[in-house]
Amino acid sequence: MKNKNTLIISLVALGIFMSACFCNSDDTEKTERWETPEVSERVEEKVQEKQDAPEQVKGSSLNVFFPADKTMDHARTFTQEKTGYAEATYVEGESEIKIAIADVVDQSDTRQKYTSAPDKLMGYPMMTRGKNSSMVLVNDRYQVKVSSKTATPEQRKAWLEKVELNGLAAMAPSK
Amino acid sequence: MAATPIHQAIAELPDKNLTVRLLNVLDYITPGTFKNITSFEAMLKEVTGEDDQAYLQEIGEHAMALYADPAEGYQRALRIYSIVDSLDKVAGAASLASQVGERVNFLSFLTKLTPKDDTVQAIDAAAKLAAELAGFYYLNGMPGDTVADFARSFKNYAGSDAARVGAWIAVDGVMPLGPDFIDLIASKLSGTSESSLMQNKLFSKVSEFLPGDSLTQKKGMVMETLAATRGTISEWVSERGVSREGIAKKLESFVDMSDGKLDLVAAGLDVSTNYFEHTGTQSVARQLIDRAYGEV
Repeated sequence: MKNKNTLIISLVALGIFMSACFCNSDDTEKTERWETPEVSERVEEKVQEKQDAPEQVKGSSLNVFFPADKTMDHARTFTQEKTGYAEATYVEGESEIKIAIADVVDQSDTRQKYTSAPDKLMGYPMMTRGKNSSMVLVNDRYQVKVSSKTATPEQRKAWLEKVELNGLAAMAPSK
Repeated sequence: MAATPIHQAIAELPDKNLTVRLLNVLDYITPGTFKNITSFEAMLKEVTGEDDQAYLQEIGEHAMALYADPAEGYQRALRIYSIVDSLDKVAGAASLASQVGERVNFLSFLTKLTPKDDTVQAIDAAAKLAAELAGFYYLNGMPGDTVADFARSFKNYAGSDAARVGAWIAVDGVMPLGPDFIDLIASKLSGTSESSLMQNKLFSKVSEFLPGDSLTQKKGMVMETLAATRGTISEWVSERGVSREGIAKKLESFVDMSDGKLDLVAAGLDVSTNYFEHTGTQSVARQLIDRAYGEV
């Protein structure tokens, strides 16, 4: 009996809690996930780390390591170029591949993940994450990431192999 | 003043209002399909195709950190898209903007709306294309040859980018100026002196964001942009049979067109919608998430 009462009270409490949630405006529901103190703290730490980190390489210095236009019949378009970051997409029919090279000197958490990377590609630690992405870390500094909604993990790996990883490894960070 | 965080800016976009209706009916003008994404989480899933919540959280937080750094240019891009819509409002337009169900009648606004003369309209339209170029510059970092890169990317526009250009072609181009609006804009712009150009509020504001030191250089850059995008725009207009009549027919679903004054309707839509800011917010969020996904 006591258990039953507890259950009823819990259900009522849950009901009140849920209706309170539903009373929230639509916007609050959309944003609350991104507004917890934990999120703010992590975002601030990232911003701070970025400010304190050594200078990143120019995005344009990364372009030469990308697979050439028409690699595996895909047309290449460079889509973003910011300090420490360059990105290109390769398209052929329905197949769309994105390759990003990032200087992660300002992202210790990204570098950290590779300490437990299960595989290696040409000696560089490699891993897959989520459904659509595969990546390697070159010289504990440059992350090369292939992502695609259409490619298989094997195809993503084949694209990673087309990037000039050794050239990237040999690049002096001062460039 | 700190900028509104990106997750909040996108959540504040309406799911339904006059701007969204406009974007939906004019979506046929440009390639791709407009999806009105109004939450950060939905945009994260759309851009990455991922569904692992921990991964999405990480990408989202990295995007927030990138946005927080003014040097990255994303905040500035959003400011440019917003400026375009902030300078053309008139009193009372907000009540029109929020109309969701009923047909809009701009006739009641006649006293506040005067269709612009062709020169002002053409310079305003040029200023908006310049804003598109400047937004692209700050979003992508625009490597190499500025205008040529933009034109190449413009050709492949999709989603919110394409929807913004589609609305611009209709509301700022074809409706007030006719199907040959690009040539008309180019000739009006080239014939306008620099001092008159600075009198145009929108053009002078947007030009602050264009690369180059002098107004001569900036005007030259806009002329170059018109020339470089002309082919793509003409192709869309002819392939999709974009005409004043066609646009009027599409708009009939929510605008009272009974008096047939298309330039008045265009002026009404101009002041009561913020299609540049709306789709611009979506474009910034998309590009930011795309970058964050590449980095984490």
